[in-house]
Amino acid sequence: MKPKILVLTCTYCSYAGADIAGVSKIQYPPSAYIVRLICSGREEALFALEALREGFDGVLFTGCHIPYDCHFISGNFKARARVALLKKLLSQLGIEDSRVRLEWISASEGDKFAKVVFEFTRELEEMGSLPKFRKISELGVEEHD
Amino acid sequence: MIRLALVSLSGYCSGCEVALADVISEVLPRIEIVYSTLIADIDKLPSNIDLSLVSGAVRTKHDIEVLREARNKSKLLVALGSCASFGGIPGLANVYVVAELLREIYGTYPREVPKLTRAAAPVSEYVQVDYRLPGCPPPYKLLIELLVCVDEKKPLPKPPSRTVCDECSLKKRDVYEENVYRLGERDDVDFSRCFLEQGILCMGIATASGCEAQCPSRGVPCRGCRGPPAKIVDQGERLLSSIASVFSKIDEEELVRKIPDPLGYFYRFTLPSSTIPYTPEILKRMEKDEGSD
Amino acid sequence: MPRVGVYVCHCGKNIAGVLDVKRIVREVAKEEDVVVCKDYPFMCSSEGQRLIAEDIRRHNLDRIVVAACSPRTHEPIFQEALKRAGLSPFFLEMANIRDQCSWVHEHEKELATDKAIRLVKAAVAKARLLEEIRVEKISVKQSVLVIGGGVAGITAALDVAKAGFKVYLVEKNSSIGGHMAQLDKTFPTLDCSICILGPLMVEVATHPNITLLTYSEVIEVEGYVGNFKVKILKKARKVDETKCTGCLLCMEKCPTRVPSEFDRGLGERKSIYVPFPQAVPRVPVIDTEHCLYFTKGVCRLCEKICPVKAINYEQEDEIIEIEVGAIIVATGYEEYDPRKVPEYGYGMFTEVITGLQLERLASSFGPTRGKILVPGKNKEPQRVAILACTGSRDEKNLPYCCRVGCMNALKHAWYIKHSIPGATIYVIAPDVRSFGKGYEEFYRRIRSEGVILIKGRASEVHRSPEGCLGVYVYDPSLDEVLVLKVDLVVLEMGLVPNPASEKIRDVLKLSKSTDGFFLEVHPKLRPVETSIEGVFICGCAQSPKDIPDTVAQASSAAMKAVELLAKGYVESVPYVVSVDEETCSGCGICVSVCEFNAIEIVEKNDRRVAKVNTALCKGCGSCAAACPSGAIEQAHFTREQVLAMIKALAR
Repeated sequence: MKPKILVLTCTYCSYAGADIAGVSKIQYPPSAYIVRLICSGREEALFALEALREGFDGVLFTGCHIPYDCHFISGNFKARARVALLKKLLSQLGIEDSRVRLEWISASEGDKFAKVVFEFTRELEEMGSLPKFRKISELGVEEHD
Repeated sequence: MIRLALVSLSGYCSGCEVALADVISEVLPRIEIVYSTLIADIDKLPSNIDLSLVSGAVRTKHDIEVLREARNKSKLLVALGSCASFGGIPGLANVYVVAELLREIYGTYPREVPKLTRAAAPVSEYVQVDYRLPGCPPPYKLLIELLVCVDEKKPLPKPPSRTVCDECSLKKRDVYEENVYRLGERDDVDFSRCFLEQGILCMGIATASGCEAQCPSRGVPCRGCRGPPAKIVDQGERLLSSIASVFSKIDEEELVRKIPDPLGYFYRFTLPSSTIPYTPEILKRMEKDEGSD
Repeated sequence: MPRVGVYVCHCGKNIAGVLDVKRIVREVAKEEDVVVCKDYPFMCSSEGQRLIAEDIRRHNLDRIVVAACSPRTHEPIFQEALKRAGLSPFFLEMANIRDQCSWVHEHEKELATDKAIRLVKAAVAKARLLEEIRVEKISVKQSVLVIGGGVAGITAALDVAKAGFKVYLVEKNSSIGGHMAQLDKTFPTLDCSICILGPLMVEVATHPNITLLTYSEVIEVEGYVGNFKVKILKKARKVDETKCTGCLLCMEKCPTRVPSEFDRGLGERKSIYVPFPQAVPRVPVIDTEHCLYFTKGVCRLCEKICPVKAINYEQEDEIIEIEVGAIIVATGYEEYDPRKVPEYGYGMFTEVITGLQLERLASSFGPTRGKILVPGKNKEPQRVAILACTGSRDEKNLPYCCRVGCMNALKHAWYIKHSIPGATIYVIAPDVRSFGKGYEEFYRRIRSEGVILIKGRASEVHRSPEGCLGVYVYDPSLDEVLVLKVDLVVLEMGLVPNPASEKIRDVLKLSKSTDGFFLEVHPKLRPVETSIEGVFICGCAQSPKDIPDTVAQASSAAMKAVELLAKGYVESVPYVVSVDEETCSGCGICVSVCEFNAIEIVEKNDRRVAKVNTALCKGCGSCAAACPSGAIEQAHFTREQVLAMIKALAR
């Protein structure tokens, strides 16, 4: 099983970049699932945490290039700050922080979009998949002796 | 008269019972304590309990048994305090597997310790909970309100959808510093002004109201003990996404240097009831155990 | 319970050639609330749209999922289809199973179909939760800003003005005209360039609907389609435009001499000057960096000589604020820096010049009054090498074609041939691309006139022992390295975006293509529109092109602006945020994260609550992502909707 990647995109840059990859027929693994938002400023940590719990192996936050490309001025800065703290949180939780990745992809960078998906897929393959989360009540008691 | 059981699970500090002791003079005519191992020395759960106030997080096999028994024998079961409501401070242990935890605390691997669950959990993980009264400790006014409601058979109060900011009297200018400081790091803190605006982390923004903002009004930033407001499930995530947004002009490395412990800051009371409630190491260890069986 | 209709498009073979469309339909039909699930060869065809409308009526559908191509291009089409069937256009959700699935996973058909099923299910999950959105009509300011006064900007400005709308034309230089004013002739007709451009420049200056702002720069743009607020910096000319009659006595008397930018450094100008005789406006400007009065405090000759007292040394920069409904960006190009191709010796040998420099030498109002002389030697070259494609189509420099270099090389050969009839002329080109109307004919004509064409690229330019230059070129037809002894080398440089366009890009937040030119919405179907609604691009700002294409595109951009203004209104951004006042606790986080001042905190029943100004809200959703209490939601992108999609994709 290929690792599953959730890709959060903004509409103006990274989603358009993914479209360009399509128009140019640049192939990448069918493991990346794009959810379109209007701006990377809408990309919140919850989407990544939820994705990792629900079975995604990695989450790719994307947006317009830092510093000046964001059509909403600073959405990309917000995404960057959230990803920085999220990565730290994940490492505290004992989850590889590289399961969350941040990339700036412009509306013309279809090749970059494909390249990032390739790279990320390979990295996640090396990491192996996350175990499937269960309710705490299903974890039971540790028999120690 | 409420037949009241005080069920103290292992992950508890007795703070919630002290909170009850605080209000006892006001509610004494209304209650009859039928079970408590702490303040009444009754160690058998009777039947026909009107209200079980459960404090502490679920951490042992014994906790689960007592909890289930209490549930079966009670008309109402209320999670009292942050531990029973969300997992609380003991929930922070969920970033360790049990063996590691015990080694950390005892150095060796003691046989005397009761059998631990693989992760600390809020009461609601195991039984149906009729009401949550979080807080560390729970605000005494809310505790009285709850007991009066139960005694007078009124509907239980609605959990708050607003946050501590709603009750906080500190002044706001709606302008934020572009840096984060530790409380001791600045000597020009204005204690009459919103802490977060001054770059000092305060968790009140994503913490349910009801405490009358006691901490901030006494010069201490909110730590988030009341858990998330009604519309939010994952309090820590809200704090993280929100605070990151406000201080997004700080570059990433500096931000992580200033907020080195997002787990401790943002999930101090709620990790076991959050989106990712424990480290996946616990699952790996469990799968290994199951595999070896 | 929502009633969802799902439509899976084949897009001919684009989707159905890779994905198992029938399997998608079978799987998605099982989803909760899906009432109808169908596939169709072309959903966007009128028949496909009719199918949706019919089902909406027959099955009482209230949520529609179209699994096809990108919502960026096709969402408006399907939204219209919903509207026609009496359903709110916001009850549509698209699953992009073409651009982001079939096209990019062509060789993994099974896995791609699995992925498509999840994408469609996720769209269904979101569609089930979609809510009605109200949009408002906002009036459009009846004026247009055109940035750049070259032939593109001039054309666009005139077209808009003639349609009856007010135009502000902003040019950073002291005269309009752009690069076309520098050209001697234009290919392939060999029209005198300024003779055809000059009248248009005058028309711009005199048209009652056009306000011409030269020596000015756009420094700030706020607002949105239909209602842009623009700040323009009008630099001090130090000459009062209202008084100056254009007699240019000042220019005659000015004692300083400065290399002329207009003549590409080959000629000189004064410190008070118009860049060329046909300049519009014919009002000089003082170059304060070289003027004796500004540098040394002496002289003031121009002030003394001016018969109308138009010289004003105290004149200061001004900021002009205007409001426009649309913006046309026509910032043009610049020649690629010839020093970046050092093997050809530009800057080292005075006999190596660029194509634009040759234009100035050939021009009757250029530094040599139209006599082609070798710079630094002041004599006519007898042997000339013209290097087409310099810096272009070269991975180390510019990977793309400049679209004018080949034809310029031929035109420049003609200049020399007709100025110096006995001259030997080599045109070295990897291949000659003569694709336009009359271009191939022009190519044949030049060949027939005895110009020597060599297929290839020059490798180096050397100083040869005889004192002239040696151009090394491998000729594949002879399989030999030739060394051409020449007196003049002309480099037909590739084109790059005008460096000043970078500032405009920042101000307008435009995207650029990988080659650095402004990015259009769609290269074929929407070539002048940008991702910023109401901002249009044309000419070389969009990509290198020749004059006919530039003029055509400028008219197209003007048409788009006129379309917007003539309609008179735009609809407000639908995906704005709203505040649940019961939950809002007035923390003000949203106020601090909003870049558009769209949220303020107001007192309501003695409580602080956030209030959104939907006219200012751009719908980025940053505040929704930051709101700690969950009081703010973004329409069409609610937390619940996004989480539902993530859950569906994870299954």
